[in-house]
Amino acid sequence: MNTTQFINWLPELLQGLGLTVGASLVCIATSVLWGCLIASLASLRNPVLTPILRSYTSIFRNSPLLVQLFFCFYGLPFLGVNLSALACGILAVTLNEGAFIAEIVRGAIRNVPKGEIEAAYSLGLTRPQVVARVIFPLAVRASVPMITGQASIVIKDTSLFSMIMILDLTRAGDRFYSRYFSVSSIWIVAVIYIALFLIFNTAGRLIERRVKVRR
Amino acid sequence: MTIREMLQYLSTGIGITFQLVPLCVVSTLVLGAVLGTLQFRRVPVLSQIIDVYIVAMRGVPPLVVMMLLYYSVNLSSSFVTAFTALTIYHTAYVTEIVRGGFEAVPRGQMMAGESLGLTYPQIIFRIYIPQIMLQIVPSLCGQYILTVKDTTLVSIVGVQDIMWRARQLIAVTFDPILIYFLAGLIFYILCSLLELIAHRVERRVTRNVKTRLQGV
Amino acid sequence: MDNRNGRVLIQFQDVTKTYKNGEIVVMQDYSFDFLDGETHVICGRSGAGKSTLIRCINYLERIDSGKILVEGVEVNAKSARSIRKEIAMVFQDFNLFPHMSVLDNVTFGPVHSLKADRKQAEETGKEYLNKVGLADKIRAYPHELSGGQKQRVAIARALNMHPDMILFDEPTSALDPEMVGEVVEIMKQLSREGMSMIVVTHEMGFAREAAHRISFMENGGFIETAGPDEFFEHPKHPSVAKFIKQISYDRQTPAAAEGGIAHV
Repeated sequence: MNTTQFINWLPELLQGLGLTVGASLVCIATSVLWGCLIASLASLRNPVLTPILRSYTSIFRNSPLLVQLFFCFYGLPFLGVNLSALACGILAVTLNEGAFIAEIVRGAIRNVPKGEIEAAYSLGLTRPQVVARVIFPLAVRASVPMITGQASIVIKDTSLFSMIMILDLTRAGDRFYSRYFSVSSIWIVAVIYIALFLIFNTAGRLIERRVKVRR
Repeated sequence: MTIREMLQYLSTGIGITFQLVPLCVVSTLVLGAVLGTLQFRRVPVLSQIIDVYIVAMRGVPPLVVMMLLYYSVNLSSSFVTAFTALTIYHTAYVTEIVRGGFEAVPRGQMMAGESLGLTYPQIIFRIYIPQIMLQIVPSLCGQYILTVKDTTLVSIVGVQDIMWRARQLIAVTFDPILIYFLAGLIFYILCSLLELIAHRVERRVTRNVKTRLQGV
Repeated sequence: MDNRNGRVLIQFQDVTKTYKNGEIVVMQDYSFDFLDGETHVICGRSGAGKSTLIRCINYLERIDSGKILVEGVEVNAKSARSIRKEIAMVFQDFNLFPHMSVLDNVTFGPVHSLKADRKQAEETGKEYLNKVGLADKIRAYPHELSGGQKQRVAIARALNMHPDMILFDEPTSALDPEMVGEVVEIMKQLSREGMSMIVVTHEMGFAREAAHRISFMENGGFIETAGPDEFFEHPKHPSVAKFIKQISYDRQTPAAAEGGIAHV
C-alpha cells in the first residue's frame, strides 16, 4: 500500500467506518429494545404467548446469523417485502441479538431476589406496579454487564453486512484488496475493529458502573 | 425438486461443518489449555502477548480473520485456511474459559498442593485439571455452538459448504425462502443438540458442587 | 403503656397450612385471636412455622383450609392488596429496594400503593426516619448502610404506610450481634406507643420487656400463650419449660455472650 493508494481508498474506508459505527449503534438500540420487549412479554407467563416467544429465542439463538441475514435479504422480496439491504441487515441482527438479549434479561428477571419482590407486594402494590417499578428496573440493571458484552458482538455481526453488498468496514477493506491485491487494508480494518471494540467496551464499563445495583 | 432432494444436497454441505468443528474442538482445546495455563500463571511477556491476542480476537470479526488469512497466507487448501482461521479465532475464547476455570478453584488448593511438595505441573494436572474438566464443559459447549455457526462463513474462502450449496440450489429453484429455512433448520438441530449437552452437564456440575460443598 | 382494648384485629379460624402435599404441617386446625394495640411475640424452634404463620396474614403464603380474618375481612387473593395496605411487614433480610435511596424506599409504598401525595409522603417519611435515628441518611442508598441501619429503614418504610399493625419476621436474625440493640430499642418504643405488632423473634429480652403476650409455637399451633412473667417463670408445657431452660443456660455460656441467637 502506498500513499496514493491509501488516499484514494480513504473516502471508502471512512464511509465504511461510518456505516459500521452507525449500523452498530442502531442495531444495539433496536436489539436491546426488542430483547427487553420479548423478555417482559415472556415473563407474563401467558400460556400461548410464552411458548411462542421461547421458540423464537431458541430458533434465532441456535441458528447462524448469516442464514438469517440471507433469508431476509434474498427471501423477503419473494414474500413481497422489499427492504433496502441495510434495513435487511438491521432486521436480521435485531432478530438475532434481540433473542440473545431476551435470554439475558429473562435470566435476570428470574434472579431478582424474591424478598425484594415480596416487600413490594407487602406494601400493597399491584402486579403490574411490582413488575414495572421493582422487577424490571432491577433485572435491566443486573443484565447491563452482559448486554454491553453482547453489544460488542453486534459490531462484529455487522461485518456480515459486507456479504449483502453493503459498504461497511469489512467491505471497504475487501475492495482495496481486490483493486491492489494488498492485504494491508485488511490489517487496517482489523485494527479499527479492535479500536471500536475497545471504545464500546469502555463505554459499556462506564454505563455498568453507573447503573450497577449494589446490595 | 423435492424438499427431500434439497435437504440431501444441503446435507452434503453440512459435512464440511462436521469435519471442521471436531478438528477445531481438538485444536482449540489443546492450544486453549496451554495458553490458559500460561495466562493463569501469568508468565511475564508471554502473558502480555496473549492478552493482546485475546483482546484482538474479541474485537475483530471472524470474517475479517478469515479474509486476512486467505489473502495473506497461501495455505494448501481453502479447507485448511478455514480450519486455521477458526482455530485462531476461537482459541482466544477457549483460553479465557480455561483460565476462568482455573481461577474458580479455591486458592487454598494451590497452597495445599505446594505444601505437599508437588511441582507446578503436578498441581495443574493432578489437582486443577480433574476439577475443572467437567465444570468448563457448559462454557465450552457455548463456544462450540458459536464455532458451528461460524462455519457458515467459510464459503468466502472458497469452501463448498452448506451456504455455497444453498446458493447453487437457489440458482435452480428460485426459492431462497425454503432453502435458507432448511439450511437454518439443519444448524438449529445441531446447535440445539450441543445446547442440550451443555444443560445436562451443567445440571450435573451444579449437583456435584453442591454435594461437595455439603461434604466440606 | 397498655393500649389494649380487647378488640380483635386478626383472627385465625381453623387454619391448616401444609407444605409438600401435606408432608410438613405448619398449622393444623389452628385458631387464635391477635388483639389491637397488643405486642404479641411468637417464639419456637426453627422450622416450627412461625414465619409462615405471619406471612399468611399478608397473603405471601396461602393456607390450605380455614379462614384468616383481618378486621373482619377474609384474607384471599381479592382482599390481599387492601389488607397489605393496612398490615405492614418487616422482613428478616430487610428487603429494601436496592435501586432506590432511603427516602424513596420509605415513600415508595405510600406514593404508589396508597396514592398519597409525594410531598406529604416525603414529609412523614422524614419524620419516621428521624424517629428511627436516620435523618442524616435520607439520600443514602441501602448498600451504604449497616444491617442495623437497613432494618431501621425497613421499619420506617413500614411506619410510613400508617399501618394498623406491623408484622415482624425475625427482624434481628440477620444482624450482627452489636446491631441487634438499635433495632430492638425501636421496636420497644413502638410497643410502648401502642402499635399493634406480631413479632416472630428469638430476642427473649425483647419478649420479656415489651410483649403483652408470648406464644410458643410447636406441632401446628400455639402450645402455650401467656404473659411474659408467667411464660418465663411458670411455663406449663414441658417443651416450653425445656426451651426456656435452654436459653437461660445459653445466656451463661460464652458462645451466647458472643452472639448466640438467644439474648435474654
